[in-house]
Amino acid sequence: MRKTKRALACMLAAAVLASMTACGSKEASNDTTAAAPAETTVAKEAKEETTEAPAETTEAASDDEMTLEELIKAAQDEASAPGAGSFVVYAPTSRISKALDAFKETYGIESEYYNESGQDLYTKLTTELEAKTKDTADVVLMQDSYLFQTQLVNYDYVTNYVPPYLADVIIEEDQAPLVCYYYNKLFIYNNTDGSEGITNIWQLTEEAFKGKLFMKDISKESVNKNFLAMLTSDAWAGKLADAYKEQYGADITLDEDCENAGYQFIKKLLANVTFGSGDGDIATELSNGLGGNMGLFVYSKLRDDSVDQNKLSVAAYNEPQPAGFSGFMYPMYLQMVTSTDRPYTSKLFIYFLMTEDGFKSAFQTKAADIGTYSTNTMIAPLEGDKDLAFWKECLVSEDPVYLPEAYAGGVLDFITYCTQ
Amino acid sequence: MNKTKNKVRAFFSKPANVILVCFAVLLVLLTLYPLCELVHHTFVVHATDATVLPGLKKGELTAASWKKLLLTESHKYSLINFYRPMFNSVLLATLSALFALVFGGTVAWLVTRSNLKAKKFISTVFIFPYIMPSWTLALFWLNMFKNPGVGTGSPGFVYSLTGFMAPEWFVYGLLPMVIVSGLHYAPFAYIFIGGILRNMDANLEEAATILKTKRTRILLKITLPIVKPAILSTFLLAFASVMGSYAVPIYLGSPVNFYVLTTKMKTLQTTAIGQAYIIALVMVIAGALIMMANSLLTGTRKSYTTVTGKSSQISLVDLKRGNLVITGVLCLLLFFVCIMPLFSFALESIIIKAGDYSLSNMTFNYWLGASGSVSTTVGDTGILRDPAIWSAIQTSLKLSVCCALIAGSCGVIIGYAVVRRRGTKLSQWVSGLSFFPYLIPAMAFGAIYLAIASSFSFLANSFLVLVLVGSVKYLPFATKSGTNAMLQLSAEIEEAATIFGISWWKRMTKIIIPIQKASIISGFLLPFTSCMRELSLFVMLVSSKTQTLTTMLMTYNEKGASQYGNAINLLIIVLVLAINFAVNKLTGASIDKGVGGN
Repeated sequence: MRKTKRALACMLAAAVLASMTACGSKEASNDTTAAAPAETTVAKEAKEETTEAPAETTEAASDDEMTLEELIKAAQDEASAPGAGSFVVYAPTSRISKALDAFKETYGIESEYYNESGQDLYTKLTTELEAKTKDTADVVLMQDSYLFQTQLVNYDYVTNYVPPYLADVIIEEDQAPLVCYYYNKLFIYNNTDGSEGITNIWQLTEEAFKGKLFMKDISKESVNKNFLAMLTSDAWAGKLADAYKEQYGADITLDEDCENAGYQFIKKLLANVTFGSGDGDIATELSNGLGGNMGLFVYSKLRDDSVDQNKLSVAAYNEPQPAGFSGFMYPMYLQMVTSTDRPYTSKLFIYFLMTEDGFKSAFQTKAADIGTYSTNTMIAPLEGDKDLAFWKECLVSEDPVYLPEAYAGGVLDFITYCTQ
Repeated sequence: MNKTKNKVRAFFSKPANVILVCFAVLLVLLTLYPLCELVHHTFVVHATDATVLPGLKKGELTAASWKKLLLTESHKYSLINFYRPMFNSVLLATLSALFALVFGGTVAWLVTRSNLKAKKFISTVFIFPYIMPSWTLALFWLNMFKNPGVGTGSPGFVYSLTGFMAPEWFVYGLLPMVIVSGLHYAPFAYIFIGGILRNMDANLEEAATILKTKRTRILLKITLPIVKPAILSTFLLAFASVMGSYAVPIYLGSPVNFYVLTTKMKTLQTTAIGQAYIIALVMVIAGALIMMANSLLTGTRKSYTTVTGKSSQISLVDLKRGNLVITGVLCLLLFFVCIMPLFSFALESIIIKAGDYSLSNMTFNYWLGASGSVSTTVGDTGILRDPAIWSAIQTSLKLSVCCALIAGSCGVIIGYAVVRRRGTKLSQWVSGLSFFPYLIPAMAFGAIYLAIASSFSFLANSFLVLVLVGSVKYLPFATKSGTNAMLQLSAEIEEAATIFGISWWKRMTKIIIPIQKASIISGFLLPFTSCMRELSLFVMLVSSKTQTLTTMLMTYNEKGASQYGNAINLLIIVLVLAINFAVNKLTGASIDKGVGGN
């Protein structure tokens, strides 16, 4: 027995050594390629990235002279070139398959996709890019600004491309990095007891909402964490302090462990929250449940067949809107993978997804597809929905520069602490 | 010099030794390497760690993740993220494994050793909970017992029917988690313990009976010691499985802030993956500790041959008047936990608005509808009209069959070699190693194999990598069943053939495999079933061409298209049952004979 142990220990040690040296050499090669960003701190990098963004788009500008017809031709040539790898898109939604079908119909180019909605998508992508796998993504559609910034942008894995043919119609602030569309999650409540929702966001932190407030488990979806983290930014903490004064007529007093009104709000809010397993479940349960319950979930669920929408009301549509905010929204970044072997196809696909035809082929296929907002200003919201400008006004939005700072400052530790 | 040469030659002249050496090498590569990678990952700064561990760069080696997770006092970080979840995990896994043991073991004893009625029904449906993905049972529990007193207050089945308001601790938290996980893994106990009981040499008990030993004494002094190895290995399997399960705690735990290691691991994955790997490692260590305790308690010299050529008659315990009561209660219970969920899935897949069970609210469009007939956030056609589903069915079946064949065959060969060289260190080592994949949580296992696959272009995004990871992960089942099948087979039978100079290959194919055919094929069914319903292992390794049914299921569930989710769930269960049934009719093997065989 003892001998076996010794042998095992030797094997283990050898294997550890082997893997360490293997990884060591990998790091070395990484360092030479990405030496520059490694020198600066992450927060600095983040800022640099945003200032560098225009420089990236100049790369696109050199293609400016290329007309759309030439781009289509170049993309099609790429597809038929001998030894061409497959064109692959990674996205957090299975709907991407519809866009790819439409893409094939329009331009005759075949493609594949992979979809997974959480961190696994990033893990898969970065592992493959690091190992220089041949058939990895060429274009990515990514949610979660924090992960997007810290895992892709900071390491130059993705390149921003704004189709010059659409540069005039895409909202300017959403061009670098390019946002394809936004999703929103709204405070929605059960109105069956004649409940009229809230007039001030601080009401959600009161005793009356204890156990009556539902959102998806933050371990299952990171955009929910980002939303909470954003509240600690100076801008939102300020708005929350104002809303507090409006509600209670006095300045907010902060607990010892709360740096600003944002922290204080999170602390009190999470004490009332019950976590659910998914937005769909929450929506369905909420419509079948008791009056006065409040949920925070994606707006589009309201048009799902299984949800009784007459029983639910959207807080943002109340007059007046709740002081503070009415929910949050998060962007879907559309980027070209820097190491793509199909650059023209990638550009053409990005162009396609930003056009009305491309967007509608996947994300607005029917009247029930509310809650998805293209940054292409020519695409109108669906009936009964509002436009992007309306939502940007009343929702908390992710900031890819602030989020890494907040996480580095330990805001997540605070959030986890408050969920106990 | 010549002496060593001869020694080596003599060593390798025994097929069992060759097999052991080959598998020792293979298993080191396939399981120890991932394990070392896991250890390595806990010391590396990943992109996510770089943000929360200020001053460190991606790729650096550091112990900061360890320090942060284990020794941070501010905001009770370590307590909340590690110690308390670890306590909860161990508590949950221990209680669930005990529950599974007691429930599965009792039923196994009743079926094999008493004159219980309706044995066939009980034996068939008892394994249903294992075929269903575990969280569907959790969902079923919620659908049954939710009521206006808890959560959103939407009414569940029991409340709608009887007006009974279950208290919160009955709907969410430790108790329902133990029951649901226990039920899910009770089939392990049933299969492993039942297998031994069924084939136990009755001579021992008969001898005791002749000597006028009391029933209880026979049970305590003969039956229990004989099934002890099975009890311990069941406990190990169930414990490790529950430690690694994620979905049940999410459904039943998080609404009341009951967190376990897996839920914390998932949370940390996005923000500090190094710490997530530490948690994975802790889970492996917990499993390994149980495994060591297991081998210490079982010892090495005990072996019970049951297929000897001598015939024996097992005398069944007469339950007398209790028979009908026990049969009735058991059947009712099994109907509730094994058959009801199937009805519930079928029903939920055809109703439009949740909670409304009137005919006008029902439609088959989620199964068969043409494009545009339904409106959900993910699709608008019936699943049987969706070509993606058909291709997923194909992939799932192909994958599960491949994994079952590979794992099953390896299991038989390993089992043969381990048993023939029983007591040697090499044999112990191989048998221990082949168990390791089961202890590594599926999430971490998948992530490590992704890293390996990405470095080899023929593996990346291929079907092959799915087969590889599935075969390795489910090897423990197959080895367990292979070893047990071989343990029952007396060595005399093979020795007789050896004396006549019959080659090893012929001995295997003409004697050993035919005798234990049913048992061996049964050993293929457990990996098959597990593979069909596996998700977290494959989720990062699939590509659009190799979507499995479970990855599709996850997409639908994530997006809240519960009708689709229920439909696919039912589809998986029906497929597994159909195949088990077909195999049973063709070969006489069945999953509940997996480790017994007769």
